[in-house]
Amino acid sequence: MSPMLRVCAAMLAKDLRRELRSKEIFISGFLLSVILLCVIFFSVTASDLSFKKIGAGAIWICILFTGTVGMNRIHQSEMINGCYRGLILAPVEGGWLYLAKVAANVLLLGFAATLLLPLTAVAFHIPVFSNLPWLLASIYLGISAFAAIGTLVVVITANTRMKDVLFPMIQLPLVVPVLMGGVNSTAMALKGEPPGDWIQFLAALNVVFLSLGFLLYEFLLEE
Amino acid sequence: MKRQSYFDTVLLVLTFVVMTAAIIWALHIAPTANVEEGDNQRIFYFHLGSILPGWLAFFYVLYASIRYLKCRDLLWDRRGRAAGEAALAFSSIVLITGPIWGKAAWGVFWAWDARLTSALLQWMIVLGYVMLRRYMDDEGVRARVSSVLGIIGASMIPFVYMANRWFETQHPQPVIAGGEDSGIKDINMNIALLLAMASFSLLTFLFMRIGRSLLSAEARIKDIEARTHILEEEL
Repeated sequence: MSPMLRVCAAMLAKDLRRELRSKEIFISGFLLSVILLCVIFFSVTASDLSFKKIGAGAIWICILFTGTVGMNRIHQSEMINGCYRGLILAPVEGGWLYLAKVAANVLLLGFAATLLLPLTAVAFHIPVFSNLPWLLASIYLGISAFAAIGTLVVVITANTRMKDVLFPMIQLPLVVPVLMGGVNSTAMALKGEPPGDWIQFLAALNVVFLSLGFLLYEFLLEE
Repeated sequence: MKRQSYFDTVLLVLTFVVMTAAIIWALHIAPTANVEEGDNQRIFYFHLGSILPGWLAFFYVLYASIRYLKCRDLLWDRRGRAAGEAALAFSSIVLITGPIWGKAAWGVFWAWDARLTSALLQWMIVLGYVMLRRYMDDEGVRARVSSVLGIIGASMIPFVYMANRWFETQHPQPVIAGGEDSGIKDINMNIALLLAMASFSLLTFLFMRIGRSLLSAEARIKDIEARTHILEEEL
């Protein structure tokens, strides 16, 4: 294994081990999703919409808010006890650290989303198993693009006075294209159709923003 | 310095002349598009005229951000900030004039049409860029971090437009109007539109220059203040 990949793997293992021990992001994020599903249920019942039609939207609203809360939390844990200085001193280029961070975010968020799927299927009567490969592809590609942008923005807003408010305010407009791609491709997968164009759109977002993040993360790590 | 202020004066006069011509053409010479809309349609010259400068200014933010990260000269950071604020001003004009025209043409202030949604998202991204800078105290960190956000924000704009176009074709909405670019036939209307675009672009350029020199002056004053403080302490 090359030194770059070794540091990358160590970073990823560190983030996952931390989460396995504390489980705080998973528990708070997953509970938030369940509460959001209830809120969506009440709003939909009041507005007389059919459950099936809002399945994709419900999944993505949960991913969006859980992801926003989770990524902020992961970064905050990096700021205490001088951990951030350790990150800066890591003997590789910032881009590799960025990839490790994105991978950790994707795995944590992806795990929460995978647990969320059966729950949404039960609550909103949507056929998740009819077109599972496309459904998973839509969700994971979307989560990956979401994490690629969020991982950068969370570091960008970390130095500000109002970071807790500023992070969602800057991140949410930036991830709207990801949300549109994700919702449309998930909706098509749930209908049993292959979501061709939207999957390509999500893949393009991934390529562009992972590359940008790889190049730009270095600048964010300076002190 | 002298050459710079001479250029600014020429730019100011040119903007004034072109803007006056644009107002005369748009409000007086150009005919109204159709009877139903009447004179309400004339706001459209200024609406469409501010879209282009909004884009240009934000793509200038992208350029200035890349230049800053490459050479770490705070001048490029100031240029980026001035351009970001100009982009926010013109995106806001688009969002204010659009609904006024929309109410007259479509009967509603806001419709979730692809172009409207894209403009709103672009405005939010620019607002995020401008807001981020207000909440950071350290000048060096602010310049570095907001340059990164400038690059990400500007790279997202093409995706915003692409996603919204596709979204519309995937979900056809009830046709509210024929769309704004159904083709302008009259030569005077074309001239009015071009003049409006040119005048707003010149105005953006002027705003960016004024903004940059204001920020440079502010930095100089801070520098002098810091030096005076040191001198006072020594005395």
